[in-house]
Amino acid sequence: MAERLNRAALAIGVATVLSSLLGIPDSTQFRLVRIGGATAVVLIALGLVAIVAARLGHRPLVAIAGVGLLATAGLQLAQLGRSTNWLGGDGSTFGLLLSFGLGLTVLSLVPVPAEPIPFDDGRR
Amino acid sequence: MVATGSGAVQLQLERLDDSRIGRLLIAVVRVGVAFLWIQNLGWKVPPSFGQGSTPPEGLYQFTRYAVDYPVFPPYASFVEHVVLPNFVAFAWLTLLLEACIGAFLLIGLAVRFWALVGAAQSLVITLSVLNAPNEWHWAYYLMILAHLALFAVAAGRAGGLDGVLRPLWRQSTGRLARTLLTVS
Repeated sequence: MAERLNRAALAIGVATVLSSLLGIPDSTQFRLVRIGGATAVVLIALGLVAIVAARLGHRPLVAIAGVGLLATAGLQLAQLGRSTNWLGGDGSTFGLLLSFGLGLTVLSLVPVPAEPIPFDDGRR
Repeated sequence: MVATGSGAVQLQLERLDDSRIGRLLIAVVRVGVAFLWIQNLGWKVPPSFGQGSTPPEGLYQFTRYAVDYPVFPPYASFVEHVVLPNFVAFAWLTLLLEACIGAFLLIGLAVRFWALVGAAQSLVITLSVLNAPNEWHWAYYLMILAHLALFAVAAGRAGGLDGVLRPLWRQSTGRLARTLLTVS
């Protein structure tokens, strides 16, 4: 089970790093999420932390990455529509940061049982 | 159809596809719908959300459409007498709700719950803008249908956190775990 959680954290870490590329079509009609320079740095840095943490199986470090992303999301939310906008993002930036932060934080907090757990056996 | 021991006849249903490509496509749809919500957070801009502009713009403009181009009169009345007088509060609620829909769908957590919330919010949007000029009705029908599909296939179990965490929740007797099992 711990291995599955680590793989999931690794996947979210990779997704976090890759999501910084969403800033490339920023000035075009294909922009999905506003990713400014500061946001890209945060995504890459904390995404790499999550990747390293997942590879090492170090759940407190996964938590740090997750909480860091959540805190960044909170900062963006607080500065939405204001003249002071350190991340240079908008509501879409907030949504993306919230998503990855939530995922990593949840994975870091889930208790890992000692024994293996079977997959879905068809029951609800 | 098969006969049971009591002589009654049961209808056997064909199993839904559970192939790798099927699960991958379900995950792709889930992520795509998530980005639909996340992208559209970008034009919902506090503190005014478009209120006070001449002509009205942003979220305020689309909210006003429910009154100017009513689809369902009771809903139009609710918007006119409850939502618009307290617009900024409802706008913040909309921003946070839609961020949560996008966020939870993107990571695939509690997807059955958030898919239903997304369907309900899609219905609310439909009731506001369906009769506005230059709107394509099917865009809103498809929004609702996409969320219902995500609910039907429990899309978080394919490449999402629901698929990772459900075995843990199934082993637990706690109320939170039972709830998460139900909404995933």
